[in-house]
Amino acid sequence: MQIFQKGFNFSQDGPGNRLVYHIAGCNMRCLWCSNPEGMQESNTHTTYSKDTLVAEAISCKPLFFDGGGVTFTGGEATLHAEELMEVLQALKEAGIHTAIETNGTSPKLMEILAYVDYLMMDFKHYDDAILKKFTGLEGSIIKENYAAITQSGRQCHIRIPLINGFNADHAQGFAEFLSKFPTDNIVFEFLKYHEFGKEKWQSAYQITDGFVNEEQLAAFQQAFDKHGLIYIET
Amino acid sequence: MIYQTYENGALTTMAKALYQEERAIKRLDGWFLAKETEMLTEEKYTGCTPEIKKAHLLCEVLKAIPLSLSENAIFVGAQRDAFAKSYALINPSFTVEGFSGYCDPLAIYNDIEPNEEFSAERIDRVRTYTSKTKMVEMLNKTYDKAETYTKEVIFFVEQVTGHVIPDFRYALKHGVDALIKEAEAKDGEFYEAAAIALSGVKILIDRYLELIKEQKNTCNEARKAQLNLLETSLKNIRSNGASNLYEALQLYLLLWEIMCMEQAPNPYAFSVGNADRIFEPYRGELSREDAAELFKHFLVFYNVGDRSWAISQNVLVGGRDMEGNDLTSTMTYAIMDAYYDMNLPQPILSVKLHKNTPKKLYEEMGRFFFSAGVLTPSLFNDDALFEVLKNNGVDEKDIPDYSVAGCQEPLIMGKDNANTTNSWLNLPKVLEMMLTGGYSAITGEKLMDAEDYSLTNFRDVYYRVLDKVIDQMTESANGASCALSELKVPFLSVFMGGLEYGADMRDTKVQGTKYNGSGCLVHGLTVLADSFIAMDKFAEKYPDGKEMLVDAIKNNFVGYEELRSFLLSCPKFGNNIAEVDDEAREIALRVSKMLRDRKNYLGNPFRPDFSSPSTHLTYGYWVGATPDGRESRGMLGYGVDPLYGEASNGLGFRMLSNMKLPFEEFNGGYASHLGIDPKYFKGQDYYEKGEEFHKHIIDPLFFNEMKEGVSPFYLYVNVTTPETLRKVLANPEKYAPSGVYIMRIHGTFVNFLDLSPAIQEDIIARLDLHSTSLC
Repeated sequence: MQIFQKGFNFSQDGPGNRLVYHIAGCNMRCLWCSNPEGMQESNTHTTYSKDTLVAEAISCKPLFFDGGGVTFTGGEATLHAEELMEVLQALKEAGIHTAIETNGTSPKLMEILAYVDYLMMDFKHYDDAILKKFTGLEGSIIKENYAAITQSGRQCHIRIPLINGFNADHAQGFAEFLSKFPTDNIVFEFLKYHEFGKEKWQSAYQITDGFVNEEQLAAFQQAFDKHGLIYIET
Repeated sequence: MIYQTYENGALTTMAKALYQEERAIKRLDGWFLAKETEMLTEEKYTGCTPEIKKAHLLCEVLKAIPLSLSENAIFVGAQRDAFAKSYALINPSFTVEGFSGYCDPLAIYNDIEPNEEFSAERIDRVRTYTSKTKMVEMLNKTYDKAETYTKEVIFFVEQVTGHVIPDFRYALKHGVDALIKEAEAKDGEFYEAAAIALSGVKILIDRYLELIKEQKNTCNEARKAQLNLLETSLKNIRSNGASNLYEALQLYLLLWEIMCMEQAPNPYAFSVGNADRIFEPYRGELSREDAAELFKHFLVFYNVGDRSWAISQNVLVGGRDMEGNDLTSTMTYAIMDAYYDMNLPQPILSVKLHKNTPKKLYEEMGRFFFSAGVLTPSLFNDDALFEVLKNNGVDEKDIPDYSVAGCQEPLIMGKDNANTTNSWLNLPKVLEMMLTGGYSAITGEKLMDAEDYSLTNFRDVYYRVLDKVIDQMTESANGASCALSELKVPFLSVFMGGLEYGADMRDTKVQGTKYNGSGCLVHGLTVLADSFIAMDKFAEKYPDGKEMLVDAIKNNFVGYEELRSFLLSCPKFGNNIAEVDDEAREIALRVSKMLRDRKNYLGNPFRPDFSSPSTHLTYGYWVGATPDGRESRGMLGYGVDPLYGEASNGLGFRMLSNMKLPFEEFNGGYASHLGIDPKYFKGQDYYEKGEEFHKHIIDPLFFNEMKEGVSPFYLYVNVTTPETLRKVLANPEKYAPSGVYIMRIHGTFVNFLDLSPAIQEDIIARLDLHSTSLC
């Protein structure tokens, strides 16, 4: 497993205090990505074997307070599904709570979820053409996964990055699409655009006016309220 | 009564004005007058025993020092005359290079600038007198003997003045007469000296009463009413105990003044103790707000001169009793309110925490941590410290009374003379001695003999060399303590158990306090641990490379850049890597045991204290390159913290490494600092952020249920970023319009703007936000 960053975070990457591993390599090329250094697998920092990673996670147990555990994010955590499943299974066996953050593009996502206690999945856009323009990938698998997850009845935390010029004016479309499916066990979260990763891109950064205003956020909140979709803030 | 005399809000206005008056004071000559008075009157007491002579001399000083009373003062008294403009870190002339390896008792005479009143000749007369005292003679002998060890700080020793916590509670309750009566009822020179010294309270009060009488002739009616109140109170506490908070604070300050004058000059780091518990019984009907206003004047008292030169005086609040009951009270919050509103460089605030500390206390602490430029309290973990103290022989009934003398050293209020800063040990310099056969890698000079080692037995050899160094160090430290015992302290001894034990607290034959020990500040723990592991890795790669390693170190890695890169890539403490964390634990265990096995002048153990009050800079300056890849003269790790820049995986990993250390061994204390970026705290207000701080920092570190053994018990933080501090330095008028921007170094607050540039840079560097990032 190729890890380009690790560290603890409280509540923003799953419940409680969590050890977050950033796995290198991503199949999307989101123009606003705050971890562009994790897009390429070649930009790796450390190679972890399953045993090394599990041993480290076990040694970190004193800090998994308030229901914390291990979260895999990226890059894209699910690119190497088999390897990820092995590690997740071993962590579960060690009594460690597991979570992943994913862009939802893995055809094996439902298989992986057998070892995941807490799922966070991005849903960046319902419009495939716009999605492809801004991220390099169209979203049919994401939608399939969303459908499967909602129909399975399992918990899922869907995160929507709100970016002006990309999706921030499409509140109604999001609410309509997402509410077509059973959402009793789904919570949504709006992640307002930020530029924490801008410096890493240097001159290659292309988003020029990504910040969302209060009206845009309120439009999402109202549309989601209207469709009975529950949203949270972490 | 007090609020019938002062209009609403007037006390705060006056306290702030009084502080501004204090900050305008540029000269501190009182200590010199005290020494001169002793010199001029000593002859009158020829033939007296040293204790009795000292008591008389104290009274002479109290008769002679000039008194003043500002129209903004609600209390009489000042500790100003006990302090000089000396303390290095807030002295603009301080440099990391300036450490001399010698604590010159006469150097203080360089801190007074001659002028018309204090001519060079007059200063020199007192300097010469002091130089001929037995204490100076004994101290010089001690330093001479240890010179090769101290000149490049293999170790350092000093005589410890201040640095205890007097227990004034009995005096506040029963009055000075009750103490005098008790002393007079007993036979012995100490008791006679104690009664004389205690009479100094009356001398001082009578002089202040005279001053008040004079001022009443010329002041307006409103001030006259204030002076009447002061006069009435002073007349009561001249003999009796305090009957309300105003009187209790006043009596406390007068006792404090005399205690400091007795040890002038520069008795640093006396501690007020558990202030909320001391004063809550006197609060009566006063509200939190009213008590806070009074306490603001108490706080101003502790600020001396233009830079608050009386440093490291600790006020503690919060905590628990032996049964786990929380001891916070209205006074706790009143004191915190006073601190927050005044935001003064001194005295320092410490908060005792335990697992049942009320959420309210954390919430109210939020405003300190998350307001830029505002003081932040040091944090102590009662649950852990209680265990440490119990394991080191402190009686259960005394444990809740532990307090903090100086930065973080836990001592029992009124019962413990711990000589906290008596000795200072430089672990990486000892490693240098082993590696080079006793030659300095800085100067090439032979400093000591050291036996030969190999890359396979270096640990064993290191500990043998260290053993020898500690022998020398403790002998010298005891020499310094014995020298200091020539300067008796009968007044202070009364409040340290003297009336029970019948001896001066500095006596080297009879123990004058219930608890006694000598401290050793251990430096460079993590540099040594990182170095040992790097040497293991080096030996694996270059089994015959001993000469190469030594040559690289002697040459500060010049010509050995590749080797240095390799050494730097070896595991480092602070990243939750078992082998190096375990090494640090092992070193801490062994060094603690070696120190505890050594006895001080009374046969009591030395107490390990893994702290480095800016000496991680000054001592690091005298340490050559180390096998962990650290360059020559670079800083050492602060306290038990990872070396700056070596812990790069964030706060969680750093905490996990830290938690492996054997805190149960650190009965002398230890130091640890976190520089925390405020951006990680998302609460809507200070209260929510305070609770977040509790949940994300304090609970996991102090009250972690999965921690085996004793938990960490001390922490101080600075919640800011290097960018913010650079802005403050570049534009102080904008970012600190009051001229005060409080930061913490070690156990003490400092006005960041008053610091020497070297220390300002150290604070900025050690924020080390990579080591504390939360995501």
